[in-house]
Amino acid sequence: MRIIYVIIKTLTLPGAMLHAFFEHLCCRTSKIIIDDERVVRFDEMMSHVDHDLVKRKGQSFDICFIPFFFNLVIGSMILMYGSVSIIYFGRLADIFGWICLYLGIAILTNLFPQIEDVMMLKENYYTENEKKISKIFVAPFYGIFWLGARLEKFGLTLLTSIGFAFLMPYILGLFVPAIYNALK
Amino acid sequence: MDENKEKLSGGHEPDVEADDLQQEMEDLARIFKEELDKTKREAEESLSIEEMKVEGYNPQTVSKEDTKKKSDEELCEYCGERARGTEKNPKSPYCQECEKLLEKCPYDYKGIIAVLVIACITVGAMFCFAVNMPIFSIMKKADKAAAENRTFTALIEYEKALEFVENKETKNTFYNLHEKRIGLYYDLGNIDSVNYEIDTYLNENDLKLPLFKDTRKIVADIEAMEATSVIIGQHADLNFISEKNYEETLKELDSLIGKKIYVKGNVYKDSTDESFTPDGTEKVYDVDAGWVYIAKYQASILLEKEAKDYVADMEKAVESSQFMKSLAGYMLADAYVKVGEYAKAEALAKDLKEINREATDYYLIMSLVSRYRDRDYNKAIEYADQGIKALEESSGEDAFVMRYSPVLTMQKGLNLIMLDKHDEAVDSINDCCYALAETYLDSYTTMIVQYPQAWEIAALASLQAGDNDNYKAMEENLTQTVEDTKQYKADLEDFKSGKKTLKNLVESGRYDLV
Repeated sequence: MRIIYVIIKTLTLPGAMLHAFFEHLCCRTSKIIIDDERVVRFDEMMSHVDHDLVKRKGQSFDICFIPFFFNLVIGSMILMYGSVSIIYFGRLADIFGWICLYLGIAILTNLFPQIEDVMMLKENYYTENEKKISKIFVAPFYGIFWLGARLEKFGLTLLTSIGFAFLMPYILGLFVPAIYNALK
Repeated sequence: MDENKEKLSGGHEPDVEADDLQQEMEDLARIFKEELDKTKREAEESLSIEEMKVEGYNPQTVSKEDTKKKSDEELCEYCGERARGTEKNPKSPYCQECEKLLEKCPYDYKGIIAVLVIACITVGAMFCFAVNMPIFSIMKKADKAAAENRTFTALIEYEKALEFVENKETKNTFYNLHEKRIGLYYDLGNIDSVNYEIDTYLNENDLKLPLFKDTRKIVADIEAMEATSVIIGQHADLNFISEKNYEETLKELDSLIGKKIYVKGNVYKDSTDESFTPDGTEKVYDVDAGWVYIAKYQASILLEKEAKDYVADMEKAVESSQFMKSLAGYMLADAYVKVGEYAKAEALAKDLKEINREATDYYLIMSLVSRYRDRDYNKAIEYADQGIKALEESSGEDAFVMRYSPVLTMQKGLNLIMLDKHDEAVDSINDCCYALAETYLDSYTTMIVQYPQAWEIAALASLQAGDNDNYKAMEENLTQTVEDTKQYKADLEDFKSGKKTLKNLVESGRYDLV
């Protein structure tokens, strides 16, 4: 499994680097100690930075959510053009379109935190003293992160992001024409 | 123990001094342990019971680990040596030195480069998407319309999208749009438009692209239809159809079904021709059965046969393919109405509405059914109006409005005649004539020759309404353009002599313009 993981991460290296960068950024802002700051490494820590155990709940939410959110937003922004140009319009000669398609898929393949961070999120939020509202708020995120981290471990997020690229024109079709008409 | 002592002393006998020292060390260890236990007890007792309750501890279960944890929480998270808190942030979990270290935790330069590159690409991608937003929005709107079977809207939107397709990079979008338009036109049964799209915008090499897989099938179908038309012409010239050769012609046409057609250049041969031996270089097509049935229908119409004579052929034609259903569905529905099979006409109208929700075939057929079966002329007018409104909403001024709107305005006019609203009827029938004329502006006379009934009923209705100017204008158009006005003159004579009323003429079905 480790080999598959490393192969998928290598194939999607720009996304892995971006995720590691945002994780580093998050560690810096949340004051989490980084043990190894390399963003390019070919082991089970690829696309993540090696950091100390997260003890506070805010930190554990940030370290899971912030890299996920930024990769999702940036990946979607890039993929929008890539999938529309290549998949929807079928412009096979559009080199920039191919770059965007690859980069979008690569970034969206590296969305999720490592499973240890997800478990830490659970550990920090699901305590007896924690308020119910916080638990309810965190529950969907925990579910998404847990599932995503599991999928990422087996390299399956590459398939989900390719699927997302094919779905993208349909998703955009739901609101882009309305926005265009409103702007016109 | 004794063995160890022996080893330490190098195997000599233990002396008294050593014993004393041993005893002294043991005493010291005992005293130290007692003092340590005492200090710990005092420290535990010093914690107030209330404080411990607030922290969720049971004083009876406070262990050595809890005490250790508490002291750990006061130390820096990173080094675990110095006290927590900095000058700026006393609540910081780190000590002053570690806080400084954390702030200096370096970024990997590779990550920074990756982020910068990705940021540039993101900006570029957003810009490119914004540039493509109009065409994407229009195409999506068209796709939605096509998926909802609003074919006219889809065709118009695809045409609008084509306005954005200019450069080489968008060549595939250009192909994509034409491919979609060709498919829609074919679904509508509109061969002329399919041929126009292919001949004007595409070439043979384009059609070899994988994208045009469906188009190639459409082209093959149309080629088979065209080849069938040529073969039909070779076997039965419908221009010279007469009562004498009618039955023979129909048999000849029937004999073509199931045969092969061989095409080489401009030479068309069928497998009934025994003098012809194919050499394998010809294009081979199956005779299009639907097209043969349509030819039989044309023969019947040219000889003004009753609907019962051709309704079976039309049924077979419509059943032969979806294309034929679109092309000839409304003709079969008209035949059903004329033979009194209204339920079948209604069912067919619903089927046609499924193919294209915006096609007015449905409203036309329902208007006919309301007039002939229910004698509900107001309902018939309502259907015609709904059809016209649907056309206006979907198609604007696009060319295919012309195929439908004259038929609907004529239906409205005929029903107004049945309601004795002659002035309004004249207006509506005049609209029909203008709409027909607008279809071929370059050849106004073509439409009069093709649909003389429209000008005939316009003249007759004007006469009934007392609008002599319009009567004269319409009759002049008619007599100057159409050679054979025998039927019109007979109807006019019957009308003037009072043998037939205008309502009788309308009910004959001659003016339905279907």
